[in-house]
Amino acid sequence: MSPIPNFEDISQSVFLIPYSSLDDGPEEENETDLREARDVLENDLEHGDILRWEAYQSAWAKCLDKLQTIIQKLHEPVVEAIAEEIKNAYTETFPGLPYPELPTITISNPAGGTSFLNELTNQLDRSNDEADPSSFVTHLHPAECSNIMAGMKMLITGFIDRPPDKAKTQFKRKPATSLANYDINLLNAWFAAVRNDREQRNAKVPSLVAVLHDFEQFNPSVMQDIIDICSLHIPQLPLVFVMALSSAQSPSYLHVTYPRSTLAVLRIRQFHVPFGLHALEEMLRQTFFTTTFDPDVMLGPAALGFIVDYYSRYNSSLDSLLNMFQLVYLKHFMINPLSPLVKTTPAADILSAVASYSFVDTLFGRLCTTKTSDAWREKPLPTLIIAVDEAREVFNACIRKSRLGFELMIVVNTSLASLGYKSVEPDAHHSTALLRIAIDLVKGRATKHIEMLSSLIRKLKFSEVSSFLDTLRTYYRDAPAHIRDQEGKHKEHIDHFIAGLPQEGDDQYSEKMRQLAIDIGDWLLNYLDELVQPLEELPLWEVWSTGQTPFPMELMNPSIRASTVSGLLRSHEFSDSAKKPEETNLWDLPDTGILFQRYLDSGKMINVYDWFDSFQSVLETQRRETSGPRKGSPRKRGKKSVGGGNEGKWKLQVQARFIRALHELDYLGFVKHTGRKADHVIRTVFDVCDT
Amino acid sequence: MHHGSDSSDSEDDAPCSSGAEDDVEAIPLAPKSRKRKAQDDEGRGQPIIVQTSFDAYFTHTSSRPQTSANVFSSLIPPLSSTEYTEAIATLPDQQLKSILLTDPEARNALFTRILRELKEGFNVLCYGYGSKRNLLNQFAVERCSKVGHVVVANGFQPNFSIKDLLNFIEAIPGVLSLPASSAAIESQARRIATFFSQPSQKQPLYIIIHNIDSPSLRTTKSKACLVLLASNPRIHIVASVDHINAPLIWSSSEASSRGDGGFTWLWHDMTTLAPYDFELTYADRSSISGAHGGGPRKQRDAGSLGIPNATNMSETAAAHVLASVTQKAKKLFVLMAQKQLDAVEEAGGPPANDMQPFAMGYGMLFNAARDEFIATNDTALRSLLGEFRDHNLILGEQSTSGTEMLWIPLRKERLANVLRSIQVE
Repeated sequence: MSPIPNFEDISQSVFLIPYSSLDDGPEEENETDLREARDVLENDLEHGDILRWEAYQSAWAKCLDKLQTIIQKLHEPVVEAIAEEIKNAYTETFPGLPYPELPTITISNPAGGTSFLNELTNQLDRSNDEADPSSFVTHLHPAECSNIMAGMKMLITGFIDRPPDKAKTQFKRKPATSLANYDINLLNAWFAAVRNDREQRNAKVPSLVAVLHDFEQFNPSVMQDIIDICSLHIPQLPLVFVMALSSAQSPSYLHVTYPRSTLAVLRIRQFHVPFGLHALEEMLRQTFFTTTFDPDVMLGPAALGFIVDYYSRYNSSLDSLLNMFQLVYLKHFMINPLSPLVKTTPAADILSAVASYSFVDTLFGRLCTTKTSDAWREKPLPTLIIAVDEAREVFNACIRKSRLGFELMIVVNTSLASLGYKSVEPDAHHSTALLRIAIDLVKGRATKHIEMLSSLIRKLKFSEVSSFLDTLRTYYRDAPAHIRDQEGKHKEHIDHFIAGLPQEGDDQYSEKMRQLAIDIGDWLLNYLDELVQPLEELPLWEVWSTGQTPFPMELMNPSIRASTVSGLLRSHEFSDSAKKPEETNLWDLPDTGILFQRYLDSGKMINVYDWFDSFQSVLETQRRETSGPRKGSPRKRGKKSVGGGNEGKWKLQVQARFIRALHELDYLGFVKHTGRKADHVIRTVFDVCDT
Repeated sequence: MHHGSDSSDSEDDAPCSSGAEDDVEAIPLAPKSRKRKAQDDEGRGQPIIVQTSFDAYFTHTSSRPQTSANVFSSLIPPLSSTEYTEAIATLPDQQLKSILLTDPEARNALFTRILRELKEGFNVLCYGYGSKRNLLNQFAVERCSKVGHVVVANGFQPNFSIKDLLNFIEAIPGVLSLPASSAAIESQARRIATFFSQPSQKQPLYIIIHNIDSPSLRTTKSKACLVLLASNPRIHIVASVDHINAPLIWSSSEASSRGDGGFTWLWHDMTTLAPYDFELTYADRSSISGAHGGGPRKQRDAGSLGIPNATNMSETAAAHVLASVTQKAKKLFVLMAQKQLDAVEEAGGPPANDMQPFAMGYGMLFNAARDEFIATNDTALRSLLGEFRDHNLILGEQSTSGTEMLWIPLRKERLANVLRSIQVE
């Protein structure tokens, strides 16, 4: 262990505790980590925390991998289009322009996050073969471009840091004999060397790509100048600006903020990254509600509802979505002692350990209730393991069926929506049909959707029946092999319906058609009912589903104000004191709490003297109450001895306590000083705190 | 629940709504509490119309604020730092402590959780009322130091800068072996990030920042450096915030982005109820705005940090200086003090802390000193003044007209006390 620094040293503002291992080699980091972080739950297995952690890591890695693939697929078309645009920036120019235009690409990405730009950079790198990159990329951030000199310097040094030709080493630049590194002629000279080298080898001359991150944060006047300077040096310098915007595509930030003179020198191409509910739908549908992927843990209704709500209301960024999924997983494995069972059942020797007793006991309690066969009495542990494995199989089979049911419902829904049926369109809550059905499905309330779909199908127009059946047939034809095999019976049903389509010239055409539509509706109703089963009724279901566990919202979107205010006013609830809230008096609170209560009682502006006066009177009460014969906590005894004699001392103490409490409130940001009236402060918080 | 006891308390003691000069309230307290009482009597908590903070704001803003004409600093002499320290020292320790401080089990569970989240690539922010310094230091020593390097930064100190933090991280063996493009903080931060992303670097770095909401860490530059560190998967940040508006420092994309350019904050309630004494060590306890952070005022004061309490010398300090100077120098002080007191008396008005407006010109002082036979030439007077200036008992500044203006930084009543004690001698 390294020595602990003296944290109380006021003269030092930073302390370093270097890591020093005593005996362990470098490999032991993980082990130490886990040993330090023991986290044992009630009814836990022996080494349950380690098992849970491992289960979490594999489950989340699998899920994250899938999610990232989906995101990448969403971005792919846009990324490719942009890469193509950059490649052709200087080859496809408009003829007959009075002056060359600076190619500019704006990427509007309201979903935020850097994954898109990373993919773009990777794509640009990928298209570059090692020897002759077709573009040089540099990145500019708002913090680095506070003025034009710094901005130009970052832009130029970002390019010239690499050697201009095939020489692997950068030649040394002598500051005394070369141009300043914010002079664009330096870039010109460097690029001339690049061009020479390439032309000698008959290779393509690369373009210079500058990616401007968080473009809204750049100072427009600085950027105007930089753009002007750059536009004077094209096309000798094949510069391309890529601006990452987080605002919506229309109205374009660029057009709103920059003057016409700047826009005139730019050739702007706009792109936008898919975002919004569509992105959420895709991610949910392809991860948790598909027949082609099995996540280890299914989202429960509480978590899913929260995620949809948070994403659509507060922060529709894909990164925050990933964070939420990860937190759901993390919480599931951290609080649920049964979660190690997600993928595997522990071996009998772990289950028979003493520490695992209550875990095993819980499992017995859960699984043994119905089947009290001999096997349970004779060989309890092996039977238990078999039962757990069985439960896992049952759950997986059931959830796969549900997912198939969901996919089918979405197919039917989409096809009905395309036929113009209103009741399946997005509702007033801006939640799409897919999200609504998904949430109801995990809640076990999908029946109403099934009934609705079935009744719509029964009333289909005659002309629509045939195309609807075609949609279903297509779905089965394109479904994965295991679904086709499993559901062959139902495919035959559809084929049967199609074969039964009456001919138009038939004299009983309308009766037959109506009957057919009713038959299809009934078949769908029964079929979906059979597929979609409530998960909560399965044995040990909460191992594989997060169920009703609420999402840990306070981790992402905390109410700091409310927490601080209740810390001040209801301090006793944070401590282990036995006092009930009804029993606490104002004078029981810490000083800052008392002063804050008085703050809440007052108007917009507070006279400090009057505030002091009211504070003093509470302290007087406190002194009177605590010096009485009936009570005597250590704190209060302290008061008594102070209050015993010297009145002057007491006055000083009250003043010191007032100043201390006032300074604390100031530190927390509750007070704003006003220059208008002598010794007055203004309130900053108007919360009604006692509801 | 709680308001029931509060309102009854304020009715019993009536500390706020009684008293002649007490009209602090724009809204009288009594009707409000009666209404609350009525609600309580009904037994069912939910009234039909619930007042929100918006309502409260508009109610308060619509009426003219009526406050009394009392001026705190004129009615109550400010505490000197000695008086303050003495008074606080006699107070017993606060007994009310949150569960996190008293229950090791709850604390350990929280620490484990935080450590897990850090490992999963999140960074952690702690909020809630009470100083979180000791708790986080404990976390650093007990947990982080066993798995990696730890740097603890006291962001709340006025002399703290991000450069200090980076310099300390560079003290970790090996960091300096990498080349840095320049001495600027960005390249320093970049070098640190590169160092910790090397696969050969086994130990992660834990950065504990007390009060990441402090003015010096709020700047764009500091944020850019921190985000560079935070987005590195092997550098973990645990920070505390106390200001109620602290979440506004980060945009939602900065707060939630994974990878480059994002902190990926997770928030933890870490209410400790502990007093902020250490954080407020540098606060000027003699002024009601002494702890006000940020703002232009603080910036200005930060410059004069070398002279502690320059505008507020204590009586004892003055007595010490005066005890060790010559009779002549003492006479000069008495002369100056008398003139300054007269000037304050003449100006009338509320007593101010700042004595600079009552300064006297050097020429005038010289004339007066010559008349009293204290100093007969310029050199003598300057040498007498030198002693006082060294101890900040007399301050001087060039006025716009070019003459030097001199004054004693002692409030009226204190100066009078000092004068009296000299005259008694």
